Amino acid sequence: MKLAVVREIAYSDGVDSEVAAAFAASLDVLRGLGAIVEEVSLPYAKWAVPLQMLTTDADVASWFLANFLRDRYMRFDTGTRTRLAASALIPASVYHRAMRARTVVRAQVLDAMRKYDALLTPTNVTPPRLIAHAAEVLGSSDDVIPKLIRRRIAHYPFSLSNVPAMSVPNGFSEDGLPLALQIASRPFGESTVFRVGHAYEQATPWHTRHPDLDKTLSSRI
Amino acid sequence: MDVSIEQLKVLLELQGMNQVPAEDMENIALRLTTWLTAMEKIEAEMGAEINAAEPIPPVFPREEF
Repeated sequence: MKLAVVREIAYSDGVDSEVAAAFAASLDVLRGLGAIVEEVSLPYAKWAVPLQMLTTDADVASWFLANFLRDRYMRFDTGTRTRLAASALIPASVYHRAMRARTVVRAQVLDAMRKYDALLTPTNVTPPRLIAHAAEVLGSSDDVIPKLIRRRIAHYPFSLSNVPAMSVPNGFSEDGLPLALQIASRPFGESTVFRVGHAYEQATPWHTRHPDLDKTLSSRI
Repeated sequence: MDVSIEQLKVLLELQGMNQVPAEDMENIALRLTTWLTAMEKIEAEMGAEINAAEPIPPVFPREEF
């Protein structure tokens, strides 16, 4: 099995040190299982988040605009309604240019898929936040990178490219929150994704650790 | 491209979204500014390739894979 780490995602400046350490350990596990692990560059992956927002979000927003946004806007939470409202205002000319750009980004992803059975990244470049702190409300332009871009930068290149991807547990942060390894493959390559994910889980204990739901629920009350 | 609050109000009105409260305006303007500015940068980096790309939808039922 020939795998490749996506350099721009896995080794960017924004990757948290705990995420980086868990990811490096995951690569060691996969190498230990016999995989060849190399690096691949996807320079256009950095545009996946805005392109997804300019296309898929605009598509979704057009439906909500026709059905809910005009007369039931305030029934949505702040993060959802402001996201939908902004996406409903994307000019059609920009939407169609972004759709063309998606195919360019996708072509770069597929080029990598021709050389490797699967691509690897951390599922998220930072540890997850607690739900109470995860609301996507923007107070200033300083919030754009952490709240809009960074939380999506690892998965959107693959969802934008219409290829299968899987997230498997690969450790925990010091705060006890789960970290994960992402495995993506070529179109209709679900079986490859499952093979890599299953092999990794058989060699690691992370998927057997479950949250203490009783403790979690009691702490919220 | 910076979308001002005044521009945003006009755009929202054009789309018939008249229930958007004042406290949401900055948030929406920031998002729209972010994505439109990103598209300007994308055009600067990939414009020639975008021109050459087919405007096909994100479903590719008969490709090589």
